[in-house]
Amino acid sequence: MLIVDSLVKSFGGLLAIDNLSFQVKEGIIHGVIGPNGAGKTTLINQLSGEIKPDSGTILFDEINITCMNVHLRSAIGLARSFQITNIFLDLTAHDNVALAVQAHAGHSFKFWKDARKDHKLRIHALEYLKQVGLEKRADFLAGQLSHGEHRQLEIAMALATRPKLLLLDEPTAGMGPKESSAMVEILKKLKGKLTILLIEHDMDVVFSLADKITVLVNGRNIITDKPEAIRNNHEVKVAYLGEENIDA
Amino acid sequence: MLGLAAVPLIADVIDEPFYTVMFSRMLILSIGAISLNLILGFGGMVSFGHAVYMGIGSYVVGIGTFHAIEDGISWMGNGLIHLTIAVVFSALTALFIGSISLRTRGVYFIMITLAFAQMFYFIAVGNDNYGGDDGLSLYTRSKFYNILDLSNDNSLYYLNFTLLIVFLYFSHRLINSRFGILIRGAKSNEKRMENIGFPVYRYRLVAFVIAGVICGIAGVLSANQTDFVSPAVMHWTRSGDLIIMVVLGGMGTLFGPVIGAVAFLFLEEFLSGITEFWQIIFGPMLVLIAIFGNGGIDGILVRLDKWWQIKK
Repeated sequence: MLIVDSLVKSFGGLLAIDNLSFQVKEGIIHGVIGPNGAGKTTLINQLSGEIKPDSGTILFDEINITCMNVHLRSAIGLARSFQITNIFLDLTAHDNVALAVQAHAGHSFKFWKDARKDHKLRIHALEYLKQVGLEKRADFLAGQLSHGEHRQLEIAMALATRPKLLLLDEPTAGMGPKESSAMVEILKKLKGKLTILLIEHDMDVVFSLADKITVLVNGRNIITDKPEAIRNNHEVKVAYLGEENIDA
Repeated sequence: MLGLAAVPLIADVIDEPFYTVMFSRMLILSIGAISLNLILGFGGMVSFGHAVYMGIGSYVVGIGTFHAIEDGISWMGNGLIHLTIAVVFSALTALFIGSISLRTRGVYFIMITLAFAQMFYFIAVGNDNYGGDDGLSLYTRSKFYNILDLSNDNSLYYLNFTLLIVFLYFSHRLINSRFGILIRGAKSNEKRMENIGFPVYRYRLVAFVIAGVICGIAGVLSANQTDFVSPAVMHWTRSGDLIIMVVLGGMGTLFGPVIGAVAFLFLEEFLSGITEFWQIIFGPMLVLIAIFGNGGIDGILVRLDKWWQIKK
């Protein structure tokens, strides 16, 4: 479904992504882990089109999307959530999701009818809020919601664009254990319905969700395998814990 | 609003037709400010060349009536034709300016819109056939068959008033429509809008064109009001005045631009009665509004209202 082939991206002298290749199979949750500065967010930004790679190709459903516009990627079924919460704080939760529904409900050259009374948008939006368990908070301004709820809202907005592939950039970042496990439950329910590329810092989250894991170190794919194999891999331990700690 | 409807009547009763003319100007500039507010207040596009469309509308009337009188081509004096041509030319100009300037952001957008405006200004200055720098006097106003006689200031006033109501209602519908929600979303978070799949650029461009067209219509009215057209209508300071009106009244509010335009002209009239250098007083007032009046005069009124409610 997603094929990343010899991707390179550098910022000035810093090589953030170094000849990276990996594949994501359809219908699974594919985790990407790596220590700080491994290039995880740089990778997701290239997949969603925020930044363009220096070289290499990205194929999505056999379409070359390496240099495609951000909004066109969304149109062919790619969605993402952001590590830093990126929603419309002055709109209600319901409005936020309705906006995402609107983006995929024909053109928006509609100048007259009140969009907030547009049942097509509102009903669908509510369904996505339910999927992430926010239906009771629908009429609250996004700015009034808690951090954990913001992240849930992010997921609802991404789902509302009806993606085939969902890119999640650290969905549990900054969450407490309780919120974090609620997020894991939401993602578990999505498993099988769509393909998810999950970039995550929290090992417990990745190992409880992912079917396959790619370990990124210094912008390189050092191993892609099943979770059990990753857990026992020597190179991964070195990358995370340092050589001395393992020996000790 | 209802008070504005009665202005010509009151002015006639107290025999001060000057007030009708002054308020007429307020209505026309309100329309101009409403159009700018659509892109500036709701869309976050700080166009520093919005007076261009005012100039286009004015020159359409000026040139039209000029030929109608000089060459006896009577259809060129027709008001409906003036309006149509003004709409077409404003739309094309806005399409041209917008398609280039909307590729930039922030200060660059401001500079490019300003540069285009100055370009049009100098085209008008250089055009000696139509008065060049000195401008063009209108010996007759736009003709609307026998239905509407604009040579009567009161008729013109009510035309302005009606159009103001129409555009106020139009902008109310627009900002709450799918299109309006999109434009407002793009103001607060353009990247996110792209990300959920909106091709933001083309929607912004259409908003830019709509604003240009409305301001072009205000230009047609303005030329009829002043009976005179000159390049000064599209000087960059006029664009600045429109921005001041929007900010003064309250950006991104429905009635803000109307309040702003009325307040601006009132202050101009009142302060210039006190001193020739009225801007010395006006400047600091603007600074105070900018610092303390979050949301302009409209914002202050809203807060006063809340405070009043709590007190009760």
